[in-house]
Amino acid sequence: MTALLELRHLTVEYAARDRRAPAVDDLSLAISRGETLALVGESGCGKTSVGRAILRLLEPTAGSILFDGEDVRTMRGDVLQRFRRRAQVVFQDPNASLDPRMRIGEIVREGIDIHALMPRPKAELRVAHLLEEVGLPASTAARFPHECSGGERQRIAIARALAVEPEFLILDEAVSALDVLVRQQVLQLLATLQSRRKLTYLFIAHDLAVVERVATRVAVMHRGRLVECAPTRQLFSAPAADATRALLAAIPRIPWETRASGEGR
Amino acid sequence: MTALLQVEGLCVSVAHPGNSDPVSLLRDVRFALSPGETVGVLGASGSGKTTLALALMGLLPRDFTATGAVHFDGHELLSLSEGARRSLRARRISIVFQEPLTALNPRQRIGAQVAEVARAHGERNATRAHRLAVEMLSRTGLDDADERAHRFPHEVSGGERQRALLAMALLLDPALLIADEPTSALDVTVQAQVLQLLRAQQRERGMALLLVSHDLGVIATTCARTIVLHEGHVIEDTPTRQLLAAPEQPQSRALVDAVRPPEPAP
Repeated sequence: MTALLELRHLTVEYAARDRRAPAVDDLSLAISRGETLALVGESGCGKTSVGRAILRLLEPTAGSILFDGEDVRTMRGDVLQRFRRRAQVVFQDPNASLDPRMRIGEIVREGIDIHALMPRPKAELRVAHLLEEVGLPASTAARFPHECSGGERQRIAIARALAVEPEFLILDEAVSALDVLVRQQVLQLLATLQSRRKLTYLFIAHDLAVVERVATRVAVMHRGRLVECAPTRQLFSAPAADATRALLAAIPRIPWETRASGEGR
Repeated sequence: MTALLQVEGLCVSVAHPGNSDPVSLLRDVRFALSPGETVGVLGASGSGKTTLALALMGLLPRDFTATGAVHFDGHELLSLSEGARRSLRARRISIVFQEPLTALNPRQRIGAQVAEVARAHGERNATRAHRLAVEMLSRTGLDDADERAHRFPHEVSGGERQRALLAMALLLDPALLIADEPTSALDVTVQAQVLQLLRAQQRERGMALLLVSHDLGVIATTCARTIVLHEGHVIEDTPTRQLLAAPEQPQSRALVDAVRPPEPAP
């Protein structure tokens, strides 16, 4: 398997911050095609900065970001435009990421229009299909974001991301604001979409319990540094870094009964 | 043991503009809570959990109608005057909410907000109220409470804000603490710390705890008994271990399965 995305010595420093503590500190990481790499760590560890640097939403201080062999940092013109179609993002709070004045249909269609992928009537048909693909009725297109539930809004954000046929999706705490049942449904949807569309995911999260269900591999960040990266099962059974152990310890330990002992009443 | 809290046939509804029938949010909810008991209220979004917490606190919006009875500590809360209810709040029954940033006054220092609880309930001496506040902040695990007390809510972390809210809720040593999704807005590591604090305070004070959450993981580590709400109904009221081992209703089972690890626990 070849790497779709490769980060080499990525460093991000915010100007106002202390120079000795970069938000992202010399981070190297590769994501293979078709896998789900989870990037985890507590608040402030730098995981969101990594996602934003990949999307060119912020300028790294040093290092390179190779997408399909090309450096994202030096992309321009058509190449950059193409990258912006191939890499999409779903944020944590669909309340803040969906324009409240636009109808759902327009929100989902916007990317298709920007990239001039197809004429208007065809695009509208496309939007209807996308909404159905994420488990919403096509009639949702006529509604506004505030008329939808949190789970519906997150499905809409996913449909919008898929509209431009991306290969790579950054899911930045995409299910953290959802209630456990809705979260499970959205995770299920993401898994289905991934196998159907051969998507590659960077799944940014603070909650290892969620990551355990979806990730192929897990990368753990602590204070801007990558402290461990391992296949999911291995990371859970034999964590190597202190920061990983701390995250594992934070998962609520539910006192499951051993199945054999039939509880009385 | 006599119940500390007894909820009988509690119904809450709200009139919807343009809709002739009011919308039912809670339907015939009944359960009891003994002194010192820890009970979880589990349910998906929209199941009525928060409405229940607000109803018990007498904090329902004006256009909500509540019927039935809520007996607490010798009072019937639904028919209690606002003044009498206010004197029960904080002193006997307290609440912490999910989002500490909106629950705190952004323009007032943290220490002053905690001290205000003491002053509102009879502490006339400002210095003593402040000292009480700092002491309480330090008991809820706020590092360097003396210094933190002088900060504004936006100047401290989410976990620290939740500790400050807890300090306000616990200052007057209530018999019942209602915690409505107290850790949902927090990072997992901070969530673990706040839950640990909540458990420690509950044990130390022997107070009753009603912990409202959509996440059985949060409830299972803290509450001996769990009430499951679905569409405003109590569909299950059972020891938490029992719920984990054998949920009786399909809606409860879904909530249990949602937190079950991918492989069966060894």
